[in-house]
This record gives sequence, structure tokens and C-alpha cells, in this order.
Amino acid sequence: MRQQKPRYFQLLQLLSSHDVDFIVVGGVAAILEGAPITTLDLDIVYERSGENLERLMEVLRTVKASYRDPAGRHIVPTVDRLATNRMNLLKTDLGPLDVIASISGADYEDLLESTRTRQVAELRLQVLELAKVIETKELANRDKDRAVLPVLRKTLELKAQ
Amino acid sequence: MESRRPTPCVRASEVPSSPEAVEPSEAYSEDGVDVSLIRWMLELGPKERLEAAQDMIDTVWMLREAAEA
Repeated sequence: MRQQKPRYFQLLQLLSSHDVDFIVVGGVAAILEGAPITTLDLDIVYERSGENLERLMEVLRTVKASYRDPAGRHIVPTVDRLATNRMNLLKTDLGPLDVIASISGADYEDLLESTRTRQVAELRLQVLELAKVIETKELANRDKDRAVLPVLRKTLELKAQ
Repeated sequence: MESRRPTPCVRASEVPSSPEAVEPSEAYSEDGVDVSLIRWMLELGPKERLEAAQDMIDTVWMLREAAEA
């Protein structure tokens, strides 16, 4: 089945309108911070209280989220899965959405101090600072992370000038 | 969404009158990063940056659909 085209803004709008507490991380955070890169998925780190998980689940139901299962099985996220899984790699009606409990051992509360509030149209988003995005990608150290690091580092350098 | 293009990195007042005297500034850093694209993105606000990324996705999708048609 063909994957849905990513629609970053609509996904962020939906999460915000449901009062989900989340931090934008990964490639979209880097883009919002000024890095000229592309990415196909929206990565968020979510706060793990029961109330927030319910709000997040409501959004995931709205966009018909299911896991990007390599075996092609239809597995839907649940509150229990969100509470226990570290990485929830989902496909949705608005494109791929990675719903992450923690990155490199840091959860929502840990990362909050490394975020800045970004106004994107009517949305006020908590976005991971570029320096922290770089740090998380250095720790992840996957090929796709290493490939983008020179651009992120140069962007951080130019932002500081 | 409106498409956007990188703005020139050289001001009009900095352009020499003689074309032979023009030496393009280095667009790439020593490690091969296109600095002009970074400067362009940094001139944009967060909303415009997201729109630029979305424009890119939209274009790729459109080309893919055209290729499959």
C-alpha cells in the first residue's frame, strides 16, 4: 500500500488542538531551527502521564495510526503500548509519525530544558534546540544521522555568528 | 503553498561593474556543505522553513505520481 504524503503542519496542528504535551525532535526540529534538510517523518517525544497518553491516543485514532510493521501486520497503538514502548514508528493519514518516549535515555521532562518555544502560524511548539538535535544524532550514530550531521553543525555555527 | 527560492547571498551594491571582475563567493564550506542554502533558511521564519520543507515533499510526490502515470 502506498504511504501517505507527509503533512507536517496538519499533524502538528492536530496534536496542538488536542492539547498533547510533546516536543518536536529529529529532522523537523532541525528544519524549524533553520537547517536546509529534508525528512519524511515527524518525530515527537511525548509526556507520559495517563491524561496525555489519552489525548495522544485520540489524535492517533483520528489519523488512523498503525505501526510501520515490516511484516505488514496491522497493529494499532494503544495507551499500554505508548506507556511501555520507547519507539512507536507509525504510519498515519498525514504521513509517517514517530512517537518516541525517550531518546538516548532522555524523556520529555529531561529534554524540556533543551527546547525553545517556536511560533509556527497559530501554533506554539516546543522544539528541541539544534545543539541538542546534533547531540542526539551523534549518540544515535546511524548512517542517516551521520549523513546529515555536517549540515546541522554548519547551521549551528552560522546561527551563532 | 507558495514556492520560494533562495535569495542571493551578494548584495547588489557589492556586485562589481565589470563582469570579468566577478568572483563567485564560495557556496560550499570545506566539508562540502552548501552554506548558501543554510543562509537562505536562516533568513526565513520557522513557519516559512516548514513550508519550504513541505514544498519539497509536495514536489517529490508530484514527480513520483507523474512518473507512475
